[in-house]
Amino acid sequence: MESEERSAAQQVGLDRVGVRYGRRTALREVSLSLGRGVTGLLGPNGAGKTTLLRTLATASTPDTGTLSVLGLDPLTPTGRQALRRRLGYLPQNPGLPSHFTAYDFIDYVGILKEISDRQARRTEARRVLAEVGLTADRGRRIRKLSGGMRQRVGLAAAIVGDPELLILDEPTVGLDPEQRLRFRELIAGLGEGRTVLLSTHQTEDVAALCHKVVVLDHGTVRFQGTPAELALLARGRVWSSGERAPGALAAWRTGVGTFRNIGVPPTGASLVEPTIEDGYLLLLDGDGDGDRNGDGDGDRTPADAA
Amino acid sequence: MSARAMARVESARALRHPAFLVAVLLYAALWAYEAWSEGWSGQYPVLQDEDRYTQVTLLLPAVGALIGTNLAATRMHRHGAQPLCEVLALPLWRRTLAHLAAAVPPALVAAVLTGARILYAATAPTAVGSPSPVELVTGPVVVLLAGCAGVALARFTPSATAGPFAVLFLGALVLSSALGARGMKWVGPVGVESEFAAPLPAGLMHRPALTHLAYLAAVTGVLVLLALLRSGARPLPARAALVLLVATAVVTGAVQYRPLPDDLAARRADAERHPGDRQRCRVAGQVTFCAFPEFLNRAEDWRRVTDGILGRVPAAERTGPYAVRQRLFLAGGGEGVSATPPLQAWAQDDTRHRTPGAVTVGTGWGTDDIGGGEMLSFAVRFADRVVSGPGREGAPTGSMLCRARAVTVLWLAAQATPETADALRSLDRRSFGGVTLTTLESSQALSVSDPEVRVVLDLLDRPTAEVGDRLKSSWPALTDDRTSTERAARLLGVSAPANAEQASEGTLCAAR
Amino acid sequence: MRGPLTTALVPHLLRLTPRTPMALGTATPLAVAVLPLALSTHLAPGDAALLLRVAAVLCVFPVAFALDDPAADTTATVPFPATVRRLLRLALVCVPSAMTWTTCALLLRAAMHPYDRIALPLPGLALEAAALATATILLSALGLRRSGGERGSALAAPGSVLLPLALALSPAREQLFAVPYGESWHASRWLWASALTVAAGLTAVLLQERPRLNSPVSVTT
Repeated sequence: MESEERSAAQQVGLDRVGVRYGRRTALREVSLSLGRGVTGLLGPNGAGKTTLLRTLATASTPDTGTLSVLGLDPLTPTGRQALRRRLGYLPQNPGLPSHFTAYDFIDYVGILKEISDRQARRTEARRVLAEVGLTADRGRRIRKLSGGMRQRVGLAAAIVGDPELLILDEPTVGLDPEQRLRFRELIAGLGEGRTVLLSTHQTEDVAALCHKVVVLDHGTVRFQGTPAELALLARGRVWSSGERAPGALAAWRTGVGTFRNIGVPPTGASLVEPTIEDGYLLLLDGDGDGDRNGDGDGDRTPADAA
Repeated sequence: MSARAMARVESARALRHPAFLVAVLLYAALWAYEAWSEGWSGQYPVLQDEDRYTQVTLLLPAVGALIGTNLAATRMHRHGAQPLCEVLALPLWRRTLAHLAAAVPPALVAAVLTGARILYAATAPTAVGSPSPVELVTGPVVVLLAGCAGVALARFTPSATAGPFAVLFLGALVLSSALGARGMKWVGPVGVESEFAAPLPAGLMHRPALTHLAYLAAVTGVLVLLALLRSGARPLPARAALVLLVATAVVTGAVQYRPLPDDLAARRADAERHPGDRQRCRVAGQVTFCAFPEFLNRAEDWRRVTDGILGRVPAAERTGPYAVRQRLFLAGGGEGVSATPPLQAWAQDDTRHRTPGAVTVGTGWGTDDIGGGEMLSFAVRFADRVVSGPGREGAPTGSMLCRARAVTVLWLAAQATPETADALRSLDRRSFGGVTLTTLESSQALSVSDPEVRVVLDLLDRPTAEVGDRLKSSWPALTDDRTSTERAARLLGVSAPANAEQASEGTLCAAR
Repeated sequence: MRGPLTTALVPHLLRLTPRTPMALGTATPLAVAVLPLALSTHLAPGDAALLLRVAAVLCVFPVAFALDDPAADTTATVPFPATVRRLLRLALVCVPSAMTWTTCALLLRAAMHPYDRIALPLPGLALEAAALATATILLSALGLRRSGGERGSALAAPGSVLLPLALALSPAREQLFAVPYGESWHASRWLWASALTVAAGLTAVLLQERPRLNSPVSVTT
C-alpha cells in the first residue's frame, strides 16, 4: 500500500489539458499519465513539446484541463509552491548571467531552491558540477564557457536539490558524443526512483534512456508507449536497398553506404528490423495518424500496424 | 544589391520600431492637446518663430529614431547571432551603410510632420510673417543625425545602455542651450531662443540658421564615417573625408557664434528709433494702425481691442483721430534694471509720419501669459490715451493710474475683448499689491493699485452694457483721478474694498 | 527561513545589478550637481531646482535596468518567490540612486546663497524624482511581461528618456515642473503624488508573479 501510494505520488497526470497562444493552439486536450522512470517526449518543431514541459514545470498555466504532478495541483498557489520545491527544470536554450562563474550561478540557484545552509549549498554545488563534469571549470565565468559547457551548467542547475521530478527540454543540445554518453548515464541513474521527462530530437537518446516515449504532433498525443512499441509501428515497412527507392516515404543513406527506406516495400525487398526513428517517421507521415478510432487521443499500437 | 535590399528591410523596421512609433504618437498627442487647449482662436502664430518651434518638438521623434537605429544595429549581438554575421558575404561596412540608410525614413516622417505643423500654423486666421525654409529643414536633419548617431554608437559598443544615455547627453546639450549657458547655444542639435524675447521682423532677426544646418550636416557626416570606419570600410578615402568633415563641423560650429553684423545692428537701431520709415499703415474708422509689413494683419486684432474700448466711450469724448504704431524695444525683457525706451525719438518719428501721440503696440500678441500681458498693456495704453484726450500727446508723464481714473482706464481695457479680460485675471493671479503693465518690457509702465484692480474685476463680472451706461453717464467724475475709488465704485454699481483710500498713501497717487 | 535565504541572496543579486547604467547613473548626476560649486557660482532657487530635476532624470536611469534577468527562464520554477527577488533587486538599485539624488540635492543646496536655501523645496522635488522612478519601474515591469521576464529595460530605458522629454515639451510643462513655491507649485505636488500612487499601484500588480502563458520566444526588435 505504501509503495503504491509512493508510486501514485510520483505520477504525473494530465487530463484534457489545452493551451493556446492567441489564435494558435499549442496543446489540444492532451491526456497523459507518467510514472517513475525516464519518459522521452518526441515531436517535430512546433509540436507543443516545450509548451507541455513548461506547463508541467509550473512555468506557465494551461487554459483548460487539469493537472496532477507528484500528487499536487500546480494550478493552486500552494500546490505550485510545494511542487517547485520538488522539481528541477532545464529550459530550452537556458539563459545564464554571463559574468557569473559556474559555481556562483549554481550557488545562486541553490539559494533560490531554499538551501539555506551555506555549507550544504557548497557541498551540493560541488556535487552537481561534478555530476555534469564541470569541476575543473567551476571557477570560470559563464561567458568564457563553450556552448556545451553552458548547457551543462543549466543541467547542473536543474538537478540542484536532488529533485523528485526532472523536466529537461532538449538537454543534449551542444553536447559532444562523449558528453552525451555521460549525460545518458546521469539521467539513467536519476531515473531510478524519480520521474524524468525529457524532450529530444535524438531518437538514440530515447532508445538508450527511456522506458516510455510520447510522440506529440500539432499539439496532440500521437503515440504513448514503450520505445519498442514505437519501433514496432514500422515493422514490415522498412527495407534496405542499394539505392534510394523512388516510392519510399523516407529514404536516406546509412553509414555503410546502403539506403534505408520506409514505406510500402517493393516486391522482393529485404526487410530490416525497424528502429524507433523508423516508427517515429512513419507515425508522423500523413497516412499513419496513429488514431484507430478517430477520437484524437493517439492510441496507435503495434496491433494497428498489423 | 543585397545592401540595398537590407536597407529596405531595415528602413521598414525603423518606421515600425516601438521607440519611434511611441515617440511619434507622443508628438501627435502633445500637438493635439496644444491645439485643443488653446483652440484656433487662441493662437497668434508668428511664422518666423513657429518655424524654429518645430525643431524642439521634433526632439521626440529624434529620440525614437536614435534608440530604434541603435537597437537595430545591435540586434544580432543582443540575440547571440554575432557569429553568424562574422561569416556573411555582405561585409559589415555595407550592412552598416544599410542601417545608416534606414535613418532616412524617420527623417522623412519628421519632414512630413514639420510640413503639417507649419501649414497648421500658417492657416490660422491670425498668422503673420513667413517661415524660413532653412529652419524648417533643420528639424528633420536633427532626426537624421539622431538616427545616424544610434548606428555609430552601435559600432563602438553593443551595450543597451548606450542609446538611452546618448539621448540624455543630447538632452543636456539642448537644456544648456535653453538655459543660455555660455558658448552652448549652438553646440547641440537645436539652438533655443529665449521665449520671453519679442518676435522680430524676419529682416531683423539674427539666427545663423544656414550655418547651423551646415554644422548639423557635417556632424551627421562625421557620425556616418565613424560608423563606416569602425565597420571596416576602406580606410584611406573614409579617413580623408572624415578629416574634412570634422574640419567643416569645427569651422561652421565656430562661425555660428559670430557676433551681430554691424549692418544688422544698424538696421535694428534704426527700426527701433524710426519704425515709421519701414512701416505701412491702415486706417480703420478713427484709428490708424501702422505696423511692419509682415505684421500688418495684426491690425485686425488690435482693431478689436480699440473698437471694444471706443465703443464704451461717450461719442463726444472720442476726440480722435487716434493712431497705433508697432514698435520694437530690443533692450526690453533683459534681466536686471529695465532700460528706458527712446521716447523722444518715437515722438519725433510719429510727428514726421503724421501720427502724433501714437499708442505703442509690440510684436508680441497672444493668450499665454506673455502675449496676454502685451495685449492688456496695449489696451491700457490705448484706453489711457482715449481717457486723457488730445492733451496727452507724447509719452505719458505718470507711471501710476490713480483712483477713479485707474478704475475707468483698466475697465475699458479689460472689457475690450474676452482675451483682455482673461489677461487681467491671469496677471492679477501672478501679481501682488496691484498690477503693473510695462511698455515693451521697458522701464515705462503703468501701475494700478490693488483696490482699483479689485473693483475692475468685480465690474467684469457684471453685464458690460450696464457698466458702460453708468460710465458714460458719469464720465467726467469717473475720468478724474481726484475722484475716490470708493465713489467710482458706487457710481459704477459695485462696492470698493475697505482699504481703498489707505492703499494710495505712500504712492504717487497720494500727491494728486 | 526566508531571512537567511534573503541575506544569502544579496551578493548574487548585487552581481546581477547592471553596472554600466549604475556607474553612469551615479557619475553624471554628481558631475552636474558639483559643477556650480566647482565654478563658485551662486545658484538661484529656480536654477537649482532645474539642475536637481536634470539630476533626477540621470539618477533614475539605472532603475530601468534593475529588473533585467538573463536567467529568468532558467530560474522560473524555483520555490523562492520571484516577486520578493524583484523587490530586492529594485531595492539594491533604488537605494543607491536615492542616495545619489540626495547627494546632488545637498551639493546644489550648498551652491546657493544661505538665505536662498529655504526656497529650494527638497521634499517636493524628491516627490517628482520618486514619481519618475516609479514610472520607470512600471515600464520595466511591463517590459518584463513582454519579454518573458528577461528584459524590462527594452521598454523602460527608452521610456525613461522619452517620458521626461515629453513632459518637458508638453503644454502643461509649467504646471508639472512648477517654479518652487510659485502659483502652481502646490497643485503640481498633488499631480505628482497622484501619478506616483497610480504608478505604484500598477507596478505592484504587474510585479506579481503570474505564470500566465507567455510565448517562450522573446520579442525581437
